[in-house]
Amino acid sequence: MSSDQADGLSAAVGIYEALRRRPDPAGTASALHPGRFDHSAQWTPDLLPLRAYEAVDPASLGLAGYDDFHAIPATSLDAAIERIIHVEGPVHFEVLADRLLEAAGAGRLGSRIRARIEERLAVWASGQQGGSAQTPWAALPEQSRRPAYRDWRDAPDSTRQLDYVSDAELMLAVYRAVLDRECGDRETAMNEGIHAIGFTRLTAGARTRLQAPLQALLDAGMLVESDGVLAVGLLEPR
Amino acid sequence: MALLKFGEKDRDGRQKRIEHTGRYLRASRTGGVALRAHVKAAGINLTGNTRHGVRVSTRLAKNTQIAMQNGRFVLRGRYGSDAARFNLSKSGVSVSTKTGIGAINWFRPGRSSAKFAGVQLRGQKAALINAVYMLVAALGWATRLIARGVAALVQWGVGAWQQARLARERIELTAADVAPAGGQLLAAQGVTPSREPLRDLFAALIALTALMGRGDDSLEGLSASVDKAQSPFARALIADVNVAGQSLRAWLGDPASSDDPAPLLGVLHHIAGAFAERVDESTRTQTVFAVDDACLALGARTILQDAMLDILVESMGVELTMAGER
Repeated sequence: MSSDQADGLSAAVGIYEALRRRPDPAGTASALHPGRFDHSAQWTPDLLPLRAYEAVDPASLGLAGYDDFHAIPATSLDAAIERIIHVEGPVHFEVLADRLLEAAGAGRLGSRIRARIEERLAVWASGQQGGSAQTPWAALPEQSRRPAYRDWRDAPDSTRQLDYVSDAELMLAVYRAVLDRECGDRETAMNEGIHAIGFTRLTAGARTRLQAPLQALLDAGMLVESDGVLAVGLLEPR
Repeated sequence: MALLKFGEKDRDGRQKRIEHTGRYLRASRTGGVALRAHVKAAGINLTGNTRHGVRVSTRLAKNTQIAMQNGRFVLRGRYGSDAARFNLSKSGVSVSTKTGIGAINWFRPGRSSAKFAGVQLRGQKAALINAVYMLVAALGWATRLIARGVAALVQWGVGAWQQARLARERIELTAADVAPAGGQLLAAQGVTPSREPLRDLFAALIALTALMGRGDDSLEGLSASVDKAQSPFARALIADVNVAGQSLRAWLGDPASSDDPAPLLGVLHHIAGAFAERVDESTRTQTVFAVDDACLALGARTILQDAMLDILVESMGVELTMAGER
């Protein structure tokens, strides 16, 4: 087969890429591709367009009306935690606690409140198959495996910090920078990656923070590096 | 000037009449030798000839001449084209036609002329020669006409035969014809195309048409030529096509071992229909052309692929307009 034959597929590749980059909620069967939806523990990139960060409205969590945070029934607290994780996961512990405190009308995150939230979070995680409550992020298995490509400019002000973005999501930011913008070197990929999700400055701290996600992408073969130039190696993990 | 005009051609490309014409002397086979002189004054031509006497003539109108010669009044006129020339004289009007060797006068055959190898003939001999010539020419024309007719008939016959052969080789099946066979096969496998991801439906369309339509197994060879510099989506598409091809082959068996294309075309119909329901018109149209490109990338289309593309167009609801059509 020649490169001319590969060129003959260019129109098909264009359509295929457009299909991969759009939501396909009706596609739930795997007869044509057995194992298509077998959940792998490996990180998988989200190829859908960037979408707004969706935050839980604390008032909707049903934790108001208690004199003390400790007076909140465990079932109510567990339901609130689960809802926050479903909507915002992977969610940083500080963000999750902030939502709960605001919902309950509590002032600040003291050691006792922290201990109770961690306890309920551990209970939630134990009831989840593959659920992750490893500090500092809590997430559903699917959220850890395939984090959403979301725009943190739409997050509440107190939430919009690079420290609150999980490593899985930072991997996605760097990966999408290479895939969508064909960023050449590591520095550009990191800069463009966090800029796309709403963080304008690649500070020394951010650069340090992004090293691990970038290395993880290279180790998994999702990105490949040749002569200092990054390129996409895989669209899905092997 | 050549001797007696041997080798000289007239305006029709024939040998000129064999004669000598000098300034005052003319010598020919029928006219003999004669001296002649000509002057023109006040629109009157005066010609003296040792054999024919004195002639006074003038132009009456375009192509019309009157003259007096040895006491006789002469009226001459020639009008019209070579095919039907009208000749005017004192005795009336006649019609003549130019032929390849002279002219034949239809009203007065004795006034026909013919020239053969530079020898000018007039009268009944010329009429006979013209008649023979026209008969031979008519035979030649009729022969050419018949030959052309036969050639056209043969051409039409060959074309009709080729069309009939192509019609025999073409798979004349519509989506309605193949839908039941495809539906039964998919139902037996428990497959609901409308629930399959779009990427896999698209890969299946390529696998069915570009691969199975020509008896190929996979695009593995092609994936080797898609290097790292090319889009990662190209590599992913090839991988998806190969997996879809394996699934389809497991359902359909080896298409080459079956004489009935209906199951293959039927599965294509249902997959194309499921795909078309979830994409817009532009994507449907682009998909038809992209699948065709993929077929051609692997070689000339097979008869089965032609039929598959027909089914694809019909099942996708794509209206193709030929160039120049509205």
